[in-house]
Amino acid sequence: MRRLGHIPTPGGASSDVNALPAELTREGKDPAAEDGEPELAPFDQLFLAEYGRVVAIANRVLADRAEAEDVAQEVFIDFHRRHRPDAPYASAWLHRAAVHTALNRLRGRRRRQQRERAQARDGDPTLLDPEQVVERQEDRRLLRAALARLPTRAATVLVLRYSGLSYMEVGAALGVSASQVGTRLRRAEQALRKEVHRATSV
Amino acid sequence: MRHLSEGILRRLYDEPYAVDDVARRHYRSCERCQRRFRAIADDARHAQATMVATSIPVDVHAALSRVRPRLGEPRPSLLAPLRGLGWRRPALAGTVAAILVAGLSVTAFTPLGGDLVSIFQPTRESTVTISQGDLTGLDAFSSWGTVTWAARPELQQVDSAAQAAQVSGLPMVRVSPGTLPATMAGAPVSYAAMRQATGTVTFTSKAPAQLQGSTLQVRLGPAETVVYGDLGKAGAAAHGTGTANGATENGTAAQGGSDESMSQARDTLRAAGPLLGIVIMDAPRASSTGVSVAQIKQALLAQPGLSPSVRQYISSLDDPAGNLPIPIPAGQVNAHPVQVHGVTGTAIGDNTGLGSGVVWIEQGRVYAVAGTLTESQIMAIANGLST
Repeated sequence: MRRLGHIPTPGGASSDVNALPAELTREGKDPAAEDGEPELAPFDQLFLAEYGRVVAIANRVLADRAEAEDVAQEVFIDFHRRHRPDAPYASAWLHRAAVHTALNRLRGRRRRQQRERAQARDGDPTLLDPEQVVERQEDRRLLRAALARLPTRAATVLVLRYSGLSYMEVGAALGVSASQVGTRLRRAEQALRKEVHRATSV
Repeated sequence: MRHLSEGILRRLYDEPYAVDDVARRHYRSCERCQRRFRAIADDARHAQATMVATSIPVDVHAALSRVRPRLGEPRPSLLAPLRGLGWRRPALAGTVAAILVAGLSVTAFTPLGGDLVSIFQPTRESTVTISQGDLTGLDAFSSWGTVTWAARPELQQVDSAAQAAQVSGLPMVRVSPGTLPATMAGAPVSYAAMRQATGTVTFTSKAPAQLQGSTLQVRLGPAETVVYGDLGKAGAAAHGTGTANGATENGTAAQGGSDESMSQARDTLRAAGPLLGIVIMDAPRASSTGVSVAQIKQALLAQPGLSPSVRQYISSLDDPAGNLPIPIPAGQVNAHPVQVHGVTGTAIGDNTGLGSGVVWIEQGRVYAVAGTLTESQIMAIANGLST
């Protein structure tokens, strides 16, 4: 059975990751298997373990549930074509592919405009105050625009980290050591602040 | 002890216990590092507030049910990710027309009298400058005939160079590892092959009267390709730049060679990361029944709207050696002759320096090496290529 490494929830980052499926704990134990039920196929295990997190990563970029799920499914299918589901780098590959695919979609100007128009129409059902709705939409628009303009390397480390990945996980996804993640993150956060400031001061 | 790096200070904010004791002790005693930490923490808090996203519930089982049936789908064509790089339908029609035009650079320049005669068997390549205006004239040719494929040109993705050779029947491509630049060293490699395709172009009633009812037999390939780089990324980048479906931002079909489509293609290539492609194929050949090259040439020149450069090119098609035309967008790329494998080839470079390529024909076979590399890098790879 494929075993997943411990994935700590980092402090300081948003914890809205939906990557914890009911079937698998973070330690990779499958309760059903312990009860004597047949084990899941390796791809299914990987999917159940990582789908929520991959969607969360894509949603962090796109702020669109349907498109985030679309990206996640595309990423899993692509992984299935190219790699073994029990590859030790599976999670890191999926995380990186999710953010890159989502960023590429975000940078599609036409789609971005369509998305923003749709969001403007739909509003946010969790907020009732129209002023808040407008503010939230503006914040989202600024973030999407900033992510689209940032260099891919900077946007990637921000999205991965703020999707709840630990330094170790971000490092694995980027192919760098955990100690380098801090440096990249610091630079990316500075760049993000400048981008947002630039956009709001125009 | 030296002051702590920004990376360590940033990690100290998120994961303080992942930072070693020595660094933590230094931090506690160093006002300067504490001051830097405060600035870093401030930026981190700003990022955290900016990056917030609404939590979304997902039904992972339903998603798995949707994905499972798609796992057996065949791999997309190797060409699929490259669609949208700037060649849209009108441009493609123009390109095909340009090839047809060049196909009239004959090796046998005799009236055919109904016999099948080889009219196109290129032994060297040359560039044809295509501008947006040129395409307007060339596009009309696409309505002259209908194409029937006995064997369609289909690029099939395979797992290795050996398989590509097996499928295509061509010798296996061998790239000299020492010629690959460092940016390509760890890049994923994709292979594809195409069996020989054969088709018939039948001139219809929309063609000039002297051509109607005649046919051209076209033979393409076989071919094999090797691509270094992430094609998935390239495909995503192509779609991401809004170039999919052959439409531009305002919904109008883009013309190959226009500034806008070239700019989009460049953006796509930049986003795709390092890419290198190698293509080997048997030179395309065409034969004709019922029509002479002189007749086709005359009909082409009678077409209104041809640009002076295309008109001049058609007029010069009396060279029996035969040219394989390489369409290049006017003002966007440059081309010049180079020596490769002891023959004269054509080096093509993007004017912005984004990428370059080289094409040459050797013993009836077309070779092309191109990528987001410098001309000297491309030439080193091309000269190191063996089959």
